[in-house]
Amino acid sequence: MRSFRFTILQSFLFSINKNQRKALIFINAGIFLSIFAVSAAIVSFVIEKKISQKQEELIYLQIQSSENAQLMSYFENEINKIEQSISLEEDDRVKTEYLFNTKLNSRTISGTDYYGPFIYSMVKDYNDIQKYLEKDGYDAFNINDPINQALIEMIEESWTSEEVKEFKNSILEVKKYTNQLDDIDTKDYHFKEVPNVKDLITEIKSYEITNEVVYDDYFESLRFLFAIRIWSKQFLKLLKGSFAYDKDNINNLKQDIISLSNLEKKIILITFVLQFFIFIIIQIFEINSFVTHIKKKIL
Amino acid sequence: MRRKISSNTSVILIIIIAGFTLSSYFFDQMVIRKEDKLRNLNIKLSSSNLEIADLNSLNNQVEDLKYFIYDEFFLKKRYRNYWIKNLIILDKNFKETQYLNSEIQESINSVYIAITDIKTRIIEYYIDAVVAHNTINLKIKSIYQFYDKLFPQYFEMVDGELHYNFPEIGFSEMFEEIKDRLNSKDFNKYAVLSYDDQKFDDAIENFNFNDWYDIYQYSYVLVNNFEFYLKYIEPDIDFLNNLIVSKEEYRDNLIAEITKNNSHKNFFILVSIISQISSLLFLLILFRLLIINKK
Repeated sequence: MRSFRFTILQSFLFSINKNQRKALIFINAGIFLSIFAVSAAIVSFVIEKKISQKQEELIYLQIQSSENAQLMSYFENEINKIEQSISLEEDDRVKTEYLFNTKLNSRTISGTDYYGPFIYSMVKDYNDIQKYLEKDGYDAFNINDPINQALIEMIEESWTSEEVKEFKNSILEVKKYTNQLDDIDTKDYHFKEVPNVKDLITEIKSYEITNEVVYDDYFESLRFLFAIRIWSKQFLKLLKGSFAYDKDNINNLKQDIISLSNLEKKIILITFVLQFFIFIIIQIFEINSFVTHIKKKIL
Repeated sequence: MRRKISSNTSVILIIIIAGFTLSSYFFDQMVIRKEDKLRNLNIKLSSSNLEIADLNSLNNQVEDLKYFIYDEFFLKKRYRNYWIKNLIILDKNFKETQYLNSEIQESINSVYIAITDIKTRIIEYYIDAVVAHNTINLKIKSIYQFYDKLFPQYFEMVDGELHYNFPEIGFSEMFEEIKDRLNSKDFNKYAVLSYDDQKFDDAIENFNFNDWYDIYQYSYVLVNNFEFYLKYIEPDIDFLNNLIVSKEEYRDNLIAEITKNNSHKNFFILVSIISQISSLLFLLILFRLLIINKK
């Protein structure tokens, strides 16, 4: 069918005598339009490549941003839990310490009874945090860890020197107390063995509320909790900053993609219009060739 | 009249036109294939998102359970000796603490009420530990029972049917741990206190110090055994965390692949357009050549 059409068209083109110049003008115009259309399509191709690069960048930024958002919500939750624990612990401790002054309570609850489980639970929490972070190869409480160094370098660009100092101090402070927690043997506070009556009576008689070692271990554990709270807040601040920075970058990228996409849309529209005109020119020749062919047949 | 195409240039032009037309068809086909691939990738992405959401929710539930066990353990441990020491101080039979007895009794309005209260608290502490064990077991079951694929180790096949079988530690088993140290070796004597109010009241009236000390020891062991569940739960949390990380990596790769395929699809559309226009361009050049040749 195509070859039949081409033969008719060919005979028509060969038969053009009168309007040969006019036909050439039409064809030249069509060639000009098609070169223009091809150029426009190539330009949109280049734009599409740019859009594609920006989209890839956007996807990775969005993934990073969503991970940051998850981490932020995790830190918010942890800070709330820590603050709740501190508040409950402080309330209970001050009441209990006051009751230690009464004759009965000074005998019925010893420093080891009261402070021991808290120390055990803090050391266990610390070990859990350590295990979790070490798994990713991040020594979070070591200021010289490459990740911490990179973070400090990053915040130095946008935070004030006072804020950077606070961030560094929060790491150093946690490190100070983790060193002390490392020296605590959890077995001393696990209380696995059930005491016999004789031990209980000895404890009652000695009523040692302020066993210095236990007391020190308790306050080191409590200070660790305070330090972790401050570190978590600093880390959350850093995450929020990074999240806002990513958000700005995402918005800029989105804006770039939208404007490139609009430009591409316009160029493609022009290409289609041009293509349409070229198509019309070709159709004029094809239809004329048919008309001439039919006329010849009738004659 | 039919005329043969004599010019070689015309033949070359016709071949180029055909080439561009074919290339246009080919890239149209590629667009359809990419569209199909994108549809499949989007389905995979939705499933992956659902799976990650499910795993995150499971992980949160297991984490919460861990903190529940920690809290129970910590709070019960803190007051583990409190009531038994009170009883020792107020019990007239302990000569070692007799000198304290008179001194402290002066500060108590009613020694009888105080002792009854202490005994009630000893039983309540024990019941709380039993309830905590049951609550932990129920929480574990409600979390794990639907995840036989993720945790096959907690399921067993009985007569061709899969049954939930998370390791449990029985109350009698815990009783056995300290049986040698107990005054009464009868498990039921203390077990009934957790559900029979009459036995509870009788215990307050009739139990001697050895019985109270037995309940204290048994409660102590019950609280110690809260850690039994952590042996299973803590590795499960690590397992879930690792699984979530790997699933998220897979999802991120899917997203990247979707983006890549999307831009490929757009490239193919553009290449197809360029091929169409080029084919028209060469067709016009061919027309021009034919007219000029006629001249």
